[in-house]
Amino acid sequence: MAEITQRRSPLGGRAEARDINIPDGGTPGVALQHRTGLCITQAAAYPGCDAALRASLAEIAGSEPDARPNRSVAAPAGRLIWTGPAQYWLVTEDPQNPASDLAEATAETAAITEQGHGRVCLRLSGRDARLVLAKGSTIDFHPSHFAAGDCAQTGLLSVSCLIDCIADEDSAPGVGPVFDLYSARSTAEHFLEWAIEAAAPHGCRILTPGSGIAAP
Amino acid sequence: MFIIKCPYCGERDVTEFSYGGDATRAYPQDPAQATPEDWHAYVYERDNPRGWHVEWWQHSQGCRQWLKLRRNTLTHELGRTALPHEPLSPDDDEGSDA
Repeated sequence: MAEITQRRSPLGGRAEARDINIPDGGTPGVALQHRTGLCITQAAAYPGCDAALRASLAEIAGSEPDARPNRSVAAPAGRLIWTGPAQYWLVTEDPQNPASDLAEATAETAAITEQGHGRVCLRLSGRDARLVLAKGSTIDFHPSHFAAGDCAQTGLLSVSCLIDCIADEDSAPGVGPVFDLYSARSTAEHFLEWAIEAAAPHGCRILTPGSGIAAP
Repeated sequence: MFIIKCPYCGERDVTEFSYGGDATRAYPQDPAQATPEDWHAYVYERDNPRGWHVEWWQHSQGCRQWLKLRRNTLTHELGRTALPHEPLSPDDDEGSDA
């Protein structure tokens, strides 16, 4: 009997499209979207091999990751995110899973681990997105301090979370800032409930799960 | 509640960090020749200083890196942070940069 592999969301249908607290004729302050179909590949360089790993990532992803802490890069293949010294995430969309190509290219220089099965990504966008994040974290989310290309690993309401700012008020005028929030699969439901509760007072539009830039 | 300066991520709230114990204990230089008393001292014996101390902390909700932190156990005043391979002493008087 043939085996069938099917992705199952840990959110179990709780992130389906709906409007929360949006007055008639009003506009939502934020939009939330469960990003599905992501391949998250973690690459950790062996000692002294950071430059070689970054060269391999540039070959696979089309851009070199930023070696500075807490910086992310938009590459042709997806996002390259700093997650630690000499350690990066490459986030791409199905069906181009780069893990095996990357593992082959970095056999002597880095450890490659797929993380997509263990993470959930929520995309938070809109004019009040920074206010929503500030309710859960002690990081300064002012545009002058956390702009497009900045990322941070922190706790959102005590849940470990990676926040990647993929667009800000300057780069996406009219849309507002756009953040991708990555949390562990095991805390995904709690994470989503917190996000909805924090976003509700601002008027929240939950968009159909999928990929692409969500705008309210 | 205090704010720790991670060498990689900058200033972050203490809630993002996990305490890792006394960072002044030195691993026996020659483990093969170390006596049970040496190991006992390294593993179990801890001072309880009143004043400046150097501690291990891990930025567990951030970059997950270990760091050394100079902290005054009496006043909670924070001093310099350092990477694990960098020397840092309780008597370090380079002042606070946290």
